[in-house]
Amino acid sequence: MAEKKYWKGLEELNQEPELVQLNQLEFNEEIPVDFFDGKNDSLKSNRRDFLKMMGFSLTAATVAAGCEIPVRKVAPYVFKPEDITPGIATWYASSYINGGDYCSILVKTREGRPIKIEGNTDSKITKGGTSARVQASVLSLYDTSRLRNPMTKGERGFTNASWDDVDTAITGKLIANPNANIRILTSTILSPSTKKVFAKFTEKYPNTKVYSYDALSYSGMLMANMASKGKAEIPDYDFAKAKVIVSIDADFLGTWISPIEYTKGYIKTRKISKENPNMSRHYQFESRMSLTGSNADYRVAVLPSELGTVALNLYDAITGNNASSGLKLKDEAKQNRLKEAAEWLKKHRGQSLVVSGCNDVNVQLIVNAINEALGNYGKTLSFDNSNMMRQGIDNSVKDLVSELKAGQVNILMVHDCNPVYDHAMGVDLAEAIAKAEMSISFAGNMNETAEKCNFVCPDHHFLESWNDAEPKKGYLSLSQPTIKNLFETRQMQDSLLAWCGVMTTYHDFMMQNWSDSVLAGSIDKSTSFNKALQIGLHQPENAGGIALAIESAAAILAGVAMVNNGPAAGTDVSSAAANISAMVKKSSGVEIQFYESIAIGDGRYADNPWLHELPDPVSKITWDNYLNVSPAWARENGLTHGDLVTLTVNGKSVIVPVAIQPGQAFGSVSIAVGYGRTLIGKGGEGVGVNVYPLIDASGDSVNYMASGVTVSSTGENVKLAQTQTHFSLNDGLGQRRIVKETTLEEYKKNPLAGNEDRAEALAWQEITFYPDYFGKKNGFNWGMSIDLNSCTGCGACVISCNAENNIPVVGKKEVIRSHEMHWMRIDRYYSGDPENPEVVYQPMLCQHCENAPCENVCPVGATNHSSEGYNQMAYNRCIGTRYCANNCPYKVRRFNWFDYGAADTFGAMNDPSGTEDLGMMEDLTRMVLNPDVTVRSRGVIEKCSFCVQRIQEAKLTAKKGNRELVDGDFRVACQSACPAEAITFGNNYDETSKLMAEAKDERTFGILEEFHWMPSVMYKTKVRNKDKADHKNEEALDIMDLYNYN
Amino acid sequence: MANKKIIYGLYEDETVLIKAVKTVRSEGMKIDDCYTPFPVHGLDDAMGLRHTKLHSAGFVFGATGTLTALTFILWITTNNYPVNYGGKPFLSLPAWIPITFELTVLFAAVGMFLTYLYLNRLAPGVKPDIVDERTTSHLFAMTFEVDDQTTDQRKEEIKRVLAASGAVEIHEKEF
Amino acid sequence: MFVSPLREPLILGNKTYKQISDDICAPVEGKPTTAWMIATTLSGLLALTGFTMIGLTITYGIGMWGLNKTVGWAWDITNFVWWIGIGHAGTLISAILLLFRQKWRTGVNRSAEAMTIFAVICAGLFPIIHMGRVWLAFFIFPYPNTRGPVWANFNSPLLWDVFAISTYFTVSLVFWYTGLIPDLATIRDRATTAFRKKIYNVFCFGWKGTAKNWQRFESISLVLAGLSTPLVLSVHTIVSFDFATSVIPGWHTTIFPPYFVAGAIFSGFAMVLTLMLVVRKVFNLEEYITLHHIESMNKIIILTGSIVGVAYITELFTAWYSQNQYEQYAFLNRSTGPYWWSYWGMMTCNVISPQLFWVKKLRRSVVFTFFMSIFINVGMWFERFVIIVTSTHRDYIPSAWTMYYPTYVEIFIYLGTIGLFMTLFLIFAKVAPVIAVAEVKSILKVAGDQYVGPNATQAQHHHDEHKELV
Repeated sequence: MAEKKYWKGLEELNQEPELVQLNQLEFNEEIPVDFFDGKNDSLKSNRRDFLKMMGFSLTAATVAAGCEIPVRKVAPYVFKPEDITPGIATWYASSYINGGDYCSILVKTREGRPIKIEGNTDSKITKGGTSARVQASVLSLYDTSRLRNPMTKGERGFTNASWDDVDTAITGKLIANPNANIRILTSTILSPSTKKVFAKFTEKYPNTKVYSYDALSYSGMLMANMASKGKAEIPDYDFAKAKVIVSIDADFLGTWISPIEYTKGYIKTRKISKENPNMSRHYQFESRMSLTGSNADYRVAVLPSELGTVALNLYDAITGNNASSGLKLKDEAKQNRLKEAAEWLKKHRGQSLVVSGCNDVNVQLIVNAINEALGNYGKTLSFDNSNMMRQGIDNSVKDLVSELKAGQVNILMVHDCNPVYDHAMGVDLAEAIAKAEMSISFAGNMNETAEKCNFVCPDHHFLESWNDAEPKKGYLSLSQPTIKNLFETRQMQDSLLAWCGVMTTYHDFMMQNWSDSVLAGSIDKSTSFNKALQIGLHQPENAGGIALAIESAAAILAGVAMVNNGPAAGTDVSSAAANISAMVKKSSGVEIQFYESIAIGDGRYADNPWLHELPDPVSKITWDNYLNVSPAWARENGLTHGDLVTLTVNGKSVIVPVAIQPGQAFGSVSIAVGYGRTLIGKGGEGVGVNVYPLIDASGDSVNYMASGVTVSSTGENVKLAQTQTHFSLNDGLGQRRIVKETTLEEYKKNPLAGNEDRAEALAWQEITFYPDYFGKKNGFNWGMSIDLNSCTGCGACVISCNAENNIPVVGKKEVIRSHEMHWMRIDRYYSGDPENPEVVYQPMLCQHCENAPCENVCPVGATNHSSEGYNQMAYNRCIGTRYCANNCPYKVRRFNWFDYGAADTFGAMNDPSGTEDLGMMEDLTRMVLNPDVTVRSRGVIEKCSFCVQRIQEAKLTAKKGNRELVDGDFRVACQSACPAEAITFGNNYDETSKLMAEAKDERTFGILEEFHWMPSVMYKTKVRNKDKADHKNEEALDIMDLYNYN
Repeated sequence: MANKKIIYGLYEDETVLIKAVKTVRSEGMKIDDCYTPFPVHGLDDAMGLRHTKLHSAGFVFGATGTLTALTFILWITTNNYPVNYGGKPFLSLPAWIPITFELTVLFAAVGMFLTYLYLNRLAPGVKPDIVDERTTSHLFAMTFEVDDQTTDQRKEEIKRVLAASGAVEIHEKEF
Repeated sequence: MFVSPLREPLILGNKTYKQISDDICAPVEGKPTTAWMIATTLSGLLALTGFTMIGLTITYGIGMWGLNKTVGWAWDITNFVWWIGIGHAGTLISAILLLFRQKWRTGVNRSAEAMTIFAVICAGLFPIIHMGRVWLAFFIFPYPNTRGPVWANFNSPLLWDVFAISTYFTVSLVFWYTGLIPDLATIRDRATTAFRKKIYNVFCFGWKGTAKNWQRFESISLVLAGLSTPLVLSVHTIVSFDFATSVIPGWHTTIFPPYFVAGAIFSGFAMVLTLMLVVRKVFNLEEYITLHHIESMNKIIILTGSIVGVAYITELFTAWYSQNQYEQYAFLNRSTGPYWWSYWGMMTCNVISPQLFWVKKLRRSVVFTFFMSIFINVGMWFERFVIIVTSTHRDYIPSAWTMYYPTYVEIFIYLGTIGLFMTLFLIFAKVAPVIAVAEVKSILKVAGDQYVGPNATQAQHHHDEHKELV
């Protein structure tokens, strides 16, 4: 009962106005980390409470003051609050929930500010992996465009309102007519308790319907599964178990359903060693060059319309039926590759996996049939713990719009989605909303949909919210606030509860729900809840049981949706096949595919500069969406990189730049959705073009493909903000030995395959007249190893590095001038046939050379060698001659051309030619800065520091624990972010360290080792599971001048 | 100092001057000094002046420079604050040669120049006793110092010798 | 000393010492001509524009320039090396030619030395303004401080530069001024107004010109010349170390020191010619700066030009012979890459065109020489641009390859330094004799028997005297 008092205490506390105001800036005492640490009794004492309050107000005041100039002021605590020690980070387990996207995370807070997100290794789903979006989500907490308080629309647009006003207005309306037709439109809801809230609301107002849709829809798949398995759910895929993977346009490493989870599984089959030289074989059939396709062993570029053909042919080859009825891939070689894939699948029944990213129920039905025929169900995919991350049904929006138009909706509530922007019918909806008597949006930032509503009741950021989630049936996950809500926002669930007269907070409601269902069996519920809260997870062995317990709530939502939208498509293979062939025949001319970009997704993060500046893993283009075309097709149509073209799809046109993308299927084009938000903060203003309206949503499921597209040049050409403009290691004189590759069969013969020349390089290293500074081999010598075979190029490390090291964002204009500041970049090289090249990713960061060329040339000694073997920068000593950058063979040193970080003694200055203001210099945004890392001023060089601040922290912790620092005590930012576990960091002098094991591996090599710079970063050969004959690595790729020079 | 009185003759050509200097000295008369518009080779010998030691001074200054540079760098890099730059040895002599050389030259040049100014009594603002303004342009002067004790007969003697040796003008001057 | 009867006199028109003083001092004593006024104003304005652009750079950051993550140096260091190179000719003429007893140098050495000093001023500007944090430039000096103390990094060629350039400037200044003192005295004594006298007396340090003065003068000139000769070689050697000691293909080249020195002399002589050809016309000093001078300098240009040419070809050979892919690509990229035009511009201006000087007629043609001198300076600028930019913009890791384009700021800073240079030179030409008065007089008669000027009689006489004495 102690915690109850605790909460009451805090509410009293919050009633004090000046404190409320201070709290907004800082802190959150609500976090009950000490529920079970025995302090509870002491909490009762009033004296303590008094001191706590006093201490809190004072510290809040001081730190709040500190926030104004976070970099320069140090604000000591007068009375130290319970769980905050200046300079010591506090970590909270939580869950990243963004629509259907899910990741179990740990949030690092400093002086009460969440500043960094790391993966939660306890999770059985994401297993400690993260993605670029998860890493960047902490920045959106400090987004300057967040709504500060609820708003009501009057004659003269929106005006700020208090929650009381809003509540009276809305409840008034509700009570006046309890039978009003209420429609709640939402994206996928992962949270069982939220669903329960909806249920509660529906109890009170019976004519409430909850519609859910996903901007990037999987409802084709849901319907197919409903048809063939009787479950409108996504199965639980286990890529780790699959020896053969055939993906029909499913970008499961980048954007498909649960990429972090799938990457974790996928790379298990890619980590090879002498002892276990086995690898999965991955075939990818797709039209655009996706992240997954670029990682595939065999990638076949097919037209969007041919994806169905691929599925059918696979099905036939495996089952011996003739569903395809003569439908074939035009290209013979491709057809053969398809046959080969089928053979491999047949050889690995029950150990293979066929997935498809098509939102076409027919293709999905065939894919289900294939997996069925291969006996993969229950092995590599199953419905035991169905994946709940996509529940949206496309018809929802269609139904809603027609209802609205018919005036059948009295009250519309929009939660966690932005249909006006991201749905093909957005325009109709925008008009229709007006027909509802009252429309309420829960948007945290003003967006296109919210703007059409009469009330905006801003929701918390997920880092400010209580919530639970069931990403997979039976696997429960908790979110807890890591900071008191910065602004006058209120969680959507609290609003709904308030409006249906439930007097408890959502937190209590959720706990109640848990004790009724999840914790029904447990004796000490609060303790077991706290245990779950501590690790952010509740995933007992007998998962099934709990799932049932929450079923009731889940049913309400799914049920409602399904009742309205039964699967319209034929439920058997034959009719599906018929539909597919019909579709194939229909398609003509140039075909297009709309896809989700790795960084921006469906457009939720269009205001996040970190993500905009993250180069697309494949195209390396930032700050834009663009029309991918194949090199040959571009030549044929006289298009060059950056040409502005008018793209016309389904009768609608937009003007977009062309990007020449090797691997894009000839005759097809593709473009990313999620860009061109019109109502957005500084970060996303005027970035890209919105292509959602071009998508055809007339069918039962949104069709992300179209044919008969016209692309006509406008004659103009723009510069694309591309961070890498040369992509072949073959400079015309041969293949540069910067990336080393081999094939599995060669590797099996000889583990040194592709790395034979290393012995020589090492031999030369023996010859030196330099002193052996590190001869004693005691203490530390830090090093890193990166496995090119695991790295998928997803870019999580890049953003993690941004967040950890306060790396400035420079904006499109500056990226075009090659002024980007990323310490960690992922180089991407092509080889072989420009129309379908082999791709290799190589994370590139400071190599911390033992004989560093950069150190020798600095006149002031601002960069020199640490006694622990890394190359260190003294920013405040640097005078900015850039000599080191010139002399760096890896070109990883970055110069502060302007005052990007607003750290300048002269104050932030933008040059006359105008570097964009991305909202990164505001005090609010700067709250995300890591206090352990200097914010670099203009005119100094910066670069990867091996996260020296983490090294030091770990050493101090070890010292305090009065023990040796041991391997794995800490992880550097890029390492901890990597979902593919490609990065190993450790001590070269620790024979037992994981790093040393890596270093001894035959596949290990250093870049340009032969020059005797002795890099501390090692790489491991890329191994492709393909026949030697098909390995194109040595082949020259004569497309050096495809891109216009940047 | 007490006013200085001189008698001087002006010559039009350096060769004449040199000849005159020789004859005058052969008659055992003490020449005070000669003023020429440009360096006249052989004049100093004719006047029996010592050769200057200026260049020796230059050598000393240079040596100082070399020593300063070497010891300073050595002390810094190996003793006061040794730093590991690119794995190079703390004592990396080859890398110090350029700076050492430059300092040698700098010390020698500047040192010599200052000594030169000092010896020649040259400095901004010095008010020189100008014998005849044309001696910096196109005339050559030979001066004899005289004082109140000098008899007129002696003065006449001087003037006669000057005239004889080819002086185009002969004047008395007092500063 | 033996004088070839074929050799033409160094000074034409049978001057007397008086005439020499009159001729050379005339421009200083006369009223400034309108031409001079206009020229000075224009170059002054140009310099001003340059400084404005430097202001922009310091206020907003190096981002005002076209540099990027891969190309860290471009016009800044190109201009630096270019100006330093130009400066070298002055010291060379006065020092090396003095040691070689090349009497013809007296006609040009004064203005050549002045040029050195002004060129070094322009050059020195760039390493300073190219710093990201100019206001902390003093960090490069090894001075005791409270940070450890942290001294400079004595392994860094950039630090060597600091010492080389500052020494070079100081010594050149000392050398130049030593020679200037007697000439300023001449002007002082010729001065008509008391004020003028006063001013020039201050600047000539109260020179008298006694026998002892001149003896010491000769001594110091000789030693300074002896010091400057290795100095001038060392300076450009050290500048070349900036690149030679690096690891970037195209920079890491052991033949850089001699190659840079030759290049420096090459461009320096070209610049001297450019200036002298103007000066002799404007100040009617044709009789002092004769065709003989021009021809001798053109000969040196052929020599150094050819050395530079050999160096270029040696680089190519080395790249091929090294069998190092990165090295080979660096040179392939220079000659055929996106910056091919700068490479071939360099080749044409520096290697091919100077060969035309083998033709005596062209060698002695004032107009041709003038254009050639401009040509060569353009070529030498290209050389530095080629070395600096084409090497870095595509080095080891293809993913980092970029292109570099200059911004208006960089362009005007460069033009600004040219303006500054011209301004300083014009002012110098107005206030001090552009020809070493005293030294010229001392060589009036080296043509010996040919000399039939007013002082001839005594000259003959003098010769007889010698016979008697012997």
